[in-house]
Amino acid sequence: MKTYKNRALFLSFITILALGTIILFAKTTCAESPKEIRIGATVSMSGKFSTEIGPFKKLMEAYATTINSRGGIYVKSAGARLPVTFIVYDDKSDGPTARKFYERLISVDKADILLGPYSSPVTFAASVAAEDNKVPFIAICANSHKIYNRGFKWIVCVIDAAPRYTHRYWDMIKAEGWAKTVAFVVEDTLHPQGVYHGAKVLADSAGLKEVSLNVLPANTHDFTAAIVTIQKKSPDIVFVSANVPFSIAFMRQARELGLSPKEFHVIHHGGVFKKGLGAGAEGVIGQSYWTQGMNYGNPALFTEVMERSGISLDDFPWAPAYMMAFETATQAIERAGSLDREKLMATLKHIKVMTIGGVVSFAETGVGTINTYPSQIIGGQYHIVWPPEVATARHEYPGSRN
Amino acid sequence: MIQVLISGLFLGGVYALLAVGLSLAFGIMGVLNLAHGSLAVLAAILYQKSLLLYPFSPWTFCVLATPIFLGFGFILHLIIVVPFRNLSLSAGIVTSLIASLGLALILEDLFVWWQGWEPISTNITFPTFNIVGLKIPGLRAILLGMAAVTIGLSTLFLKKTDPGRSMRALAQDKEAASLYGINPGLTSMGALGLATILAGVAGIFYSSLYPLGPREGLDLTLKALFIVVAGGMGNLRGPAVAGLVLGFIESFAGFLFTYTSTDTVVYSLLVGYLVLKRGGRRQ
Repeated sequence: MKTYKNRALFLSFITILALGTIILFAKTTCAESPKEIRIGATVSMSGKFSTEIGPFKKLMEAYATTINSRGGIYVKSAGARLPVTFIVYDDKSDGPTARKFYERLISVDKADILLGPYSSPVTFAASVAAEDNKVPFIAICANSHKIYNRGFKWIVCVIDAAPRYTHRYWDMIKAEGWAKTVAFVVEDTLHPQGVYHGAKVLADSAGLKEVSLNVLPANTHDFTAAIVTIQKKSPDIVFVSANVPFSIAFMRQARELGLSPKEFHVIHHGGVFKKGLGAGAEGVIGQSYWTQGMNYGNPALFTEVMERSGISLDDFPWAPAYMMAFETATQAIERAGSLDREKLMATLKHIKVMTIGGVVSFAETGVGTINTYPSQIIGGQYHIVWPPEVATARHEYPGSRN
Repeated sequence: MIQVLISGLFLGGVYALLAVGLSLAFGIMGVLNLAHGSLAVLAAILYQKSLLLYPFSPWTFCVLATPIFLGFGFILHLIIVVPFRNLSLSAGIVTSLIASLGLALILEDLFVWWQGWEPISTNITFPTFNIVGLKIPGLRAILLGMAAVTIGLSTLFLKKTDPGRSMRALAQDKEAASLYGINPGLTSMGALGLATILAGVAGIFYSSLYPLGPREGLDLTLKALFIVVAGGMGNLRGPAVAGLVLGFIESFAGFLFTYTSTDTVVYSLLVGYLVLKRGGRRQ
């Protein structure tokens, strides 16, 4: 009798213990099961870069709305499609401010994955927060080698390194074989200098001779001396590696003084440049990540996101690069099947994603594969002119305005 | 070489126009208006916005905007002159300087809020004339002529009209001018109005030739201040000549040395000039 009593007591105890464990485990599992995917980022809504990407919080929100309207992103470990939420702060175009907000995104907002800020200097500072806390960080418009030579393990960048920024343009020039000489006009700041150093090597390997180099401060007003020097050399191409205000001022004076090479290449020839120069922008070639008519990936989705955000591609030519980062993050989450940070980072390191700008994958250092395409302003519209499989128009050489 | 000289002349013309307004305000009221360049930026923004409505030429818009800038000058007078008019000369200069600096910073923030960080740029095109092998850009030539006319008219106004004579009298001796029935308040208000019109014209011309950032107001003021110090505070001819000289130097520094040495050359010459002149031109 006593044995039965003891056994019953023992069985009851075991049953209660088992039930308790099951309830506790279920509760813990419920608490850890994600309800949404939290993507953290900063945008330069104020400060010097706000001209370039000021309204991009709207772009992120538009992407989230579009994806969520389709059910969200499938996360295998959750066994469901989860909605996406972007948590975005204004980094004021400032590195230390950005770093502070990325710390907050990690510790307070519990972001699952981070998208980088705009520009190399801001990304350089912000990415330290991700590395210290071991959170996947997808850099976007930040291609200075200084960021990727630090041995960081938690950073990847969708775009290629700065020196290769114009490689497709020089591939085209080499393939066409018309141009023989080039004059460089370089704004004396970090990114234009980086692009110039790469372009110089690429031009050389394309068989072009550098006949003139003018490195000028960003606040130069009078370009006459440089223009007169270039005129004497009669180059086939005048290659302007500069930011937009500098490029407008140079091009306006070059047109006035009758500088007429067969081609002007201006690395940043977006909507502000076109508006600032009016008819003088016609025929100018530059670099674009994407234009209407390119058929990589899912351009319809990008068009939908842009329309929803109300952002004009002409005014904000970096929007496609951001879209490629969204696509990469989405694919990484789906393929990892989890929001576990280590699994996400391991997936990112070996991922290959077809985006609107082509295939994104990453080198060991984190540097990506996306690069710009040479695009020419023809009839007031941007057209990709190389490579042939992507081109939306034929390269006009010499340009109609030259 | 001559082409560079001509370009330096065009650049100097805009600098001259910018500096004479600053010099006028200081000479007559003893006010160092650090918001001068920001007023030029304001004019540039207004001009750019007006072009969305109608393709005004820069000079047409200058004429149309004159009453607006006169009004801005009057408001400015209420902010940086009237509250400090009972202070001693030195205290008045310092206080109005700080007040105008604060105003300049507020204006810059407002411009960014209104305009964004996009450079203010107008895409007006004019033909370039080819004269004996030299390229003369039409717009720059016209604006240089307009700048000369504006400075000339301002000088005539100060010398030949009663309000102008009152301003000059106020600049020489405030108390004596009051004894002769000149209203110091109204006269200094008019002077700041004229200085603001000159800032506005300079801003419109400047943005017609060069892209101008919404936060470049203080940079413009600093440049104008250097010109005024070199040319002599309180007169119009000195800063006008100094502005032209600065334009030449900037153009030639890029031609003779390297572009990156331009600021070094300009400021070395300025410091050297001031040292040799033992503190600048005496008033």
